[in-house]
Amino acid sequence: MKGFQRCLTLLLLMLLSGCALFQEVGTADMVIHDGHQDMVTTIKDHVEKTEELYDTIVIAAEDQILVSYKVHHLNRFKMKSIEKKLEKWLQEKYPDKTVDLSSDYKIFLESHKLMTKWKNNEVTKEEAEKKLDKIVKLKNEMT
Amino acid sequence: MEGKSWIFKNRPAIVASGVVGGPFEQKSPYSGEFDLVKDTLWMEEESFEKANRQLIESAIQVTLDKKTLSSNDIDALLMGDLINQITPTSMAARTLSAPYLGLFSACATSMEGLALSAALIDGGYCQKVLTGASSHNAAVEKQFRYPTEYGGQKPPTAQWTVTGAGVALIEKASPHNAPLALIEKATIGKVVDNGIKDPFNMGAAMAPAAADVIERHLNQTNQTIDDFDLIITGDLSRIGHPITEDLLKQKGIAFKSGQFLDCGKMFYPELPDVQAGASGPACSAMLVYSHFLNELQKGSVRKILSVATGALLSPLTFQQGESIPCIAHAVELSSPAVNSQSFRGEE
Amino acid sequence: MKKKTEKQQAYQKLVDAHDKKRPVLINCLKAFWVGGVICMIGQAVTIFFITYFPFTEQTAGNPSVSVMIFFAMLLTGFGVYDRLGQYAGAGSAVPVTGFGNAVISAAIEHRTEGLVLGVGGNMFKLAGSVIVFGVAAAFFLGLIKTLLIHFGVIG
Repeated sequence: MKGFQRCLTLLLLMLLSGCALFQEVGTADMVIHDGHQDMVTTIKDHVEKTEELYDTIVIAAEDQILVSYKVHHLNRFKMKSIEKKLEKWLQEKYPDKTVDLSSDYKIFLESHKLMTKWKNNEVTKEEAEKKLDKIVKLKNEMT
Repeated sequence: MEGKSWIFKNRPAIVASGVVGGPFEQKSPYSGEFDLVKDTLWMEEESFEKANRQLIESAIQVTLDKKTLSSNDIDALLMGDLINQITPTSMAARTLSAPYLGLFSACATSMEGLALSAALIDGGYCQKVLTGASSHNAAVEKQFRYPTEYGGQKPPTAQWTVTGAGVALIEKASPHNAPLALIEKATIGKVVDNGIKDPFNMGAAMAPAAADVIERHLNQTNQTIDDFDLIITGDLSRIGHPITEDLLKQKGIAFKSGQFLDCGKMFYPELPDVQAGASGPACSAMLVYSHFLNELQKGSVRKILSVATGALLSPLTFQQGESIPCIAHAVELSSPAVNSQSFRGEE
Repeated sequence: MKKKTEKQQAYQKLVDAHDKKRPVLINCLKAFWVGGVICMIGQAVTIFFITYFPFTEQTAGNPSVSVMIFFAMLLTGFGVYDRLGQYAGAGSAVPVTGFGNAVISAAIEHRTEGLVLGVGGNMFKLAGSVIVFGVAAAFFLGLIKTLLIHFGVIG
């Protein structure tokens, strides 16, 4: 019986600890290099307007932008077409920037972590950039 | 009349029996009448096949011990089981080192052995014959179906193979050997196949064979159904048993209620794991050689017809889409308590 | 298939009258909820991997499947999975745990015939056909998809 209780606690812990996944944390942005603020706001507003999405986080470094968002559950079937639409819009708007889009929970989770740290002044610019690189690399990794 | 039944004139009789069951068989309401019950399926052997062999060896030993006999006293051993080329039986026979005839009629092996043993005694060729049948649930599942731990869903028509062995010692009846039951007559079955192909519905496949042999036994021995207290089939179970009853009714043979029993239905009444009921050569061997022998000895039952049914399929044939050929053998047993008068007169 | 004779057909009718049918609707419901619970556990494992390890939704599938097969192995070894299978039917057979169970149960069963010829030779006795036809089906579907993309039917 004790083992069962321990299992249950572990399971609950596991579920609760992933709370950024299940809670709505609200749209946010993070700008590592100044001068990108306008662009980030435009992107944020545009994504915000897309009905199927919520909780958008936009992170901008010097020439790299990462946009991660969550998709409303019932719209998850249309995930790919939403991504395509956004990508097209971004490419037309900012053809000279590398923009990465992701609806992946993991990418969102990491972005959220980075952003929180950044807001609390726990990371330097260099560290933040390095972390962003890592997230983008993780995003592009398949299988 | 087509064919003839065997009528034994020299009173072959079952004088001792040994019944050994497995762990699951402890749940049977008749487990109190078994001589020995094993606690695990492995029985401290390395494989289920070896455990099957151990079941046979124990059952033989129990039988011999009851009459304080040794293997040298045995003139013939007529046994069989279900596993590849009846190796468990053959290896048990190797241990016993008595003259041995291996039998295979699937689940009808018990009555095939009993009929043949009675014939050997009746003809005067042997004085002491051991006969019986055995099966082991896990070994049979492994060979005919899926691995034991595989999570496949069995349909409600599937049957549960009994783990156990039943052995009987046959001798000529005399006042000295205190017979448990007299073997009166026997009818050897024909292979009957009504085109059933589902190996998970053996009861339905075997029902026509049972009906055929019961009808022939009654006709060929000029008896009616009222001459018998009980007619017991082997392992038709909850699907096959009512089918047989219907088939016989069509032929004008109607049972009184409680007269037509089935070992497969009686073995584990209403246990959810067993679906339609019990099966396996051990099913009829165990119940006939324990419960029904006791009843006959007491005289509470006067005369029974024991019909063991067997599905003669192999894992190969049903995969190749062949239908299941079936057989049934019938042996008529009577109580020595009732017949003791006439039997003393003969001495 | 050989055609059934008249006598066999008549007998089949009699059998059908006595036959116990599988309770399909109840079986479906049981399969639904047990299968659902298994998949929920799988989802929990996936989220666990996403949260604590550097796996994305894309890549967390592989370790999750391994863990689910590991669970199936334990349940099979403890003799629980076959009972679950009898109760749930497709609910426990369709998820990857059912595949694991098919492999593991065969391996356990044939341990008595030795490691090489017994376990090695019989492990895929049940699951082998799943692999063969799975690979074949994947090949043909892949071929069709490639052709359709090539001719511009799908994007």
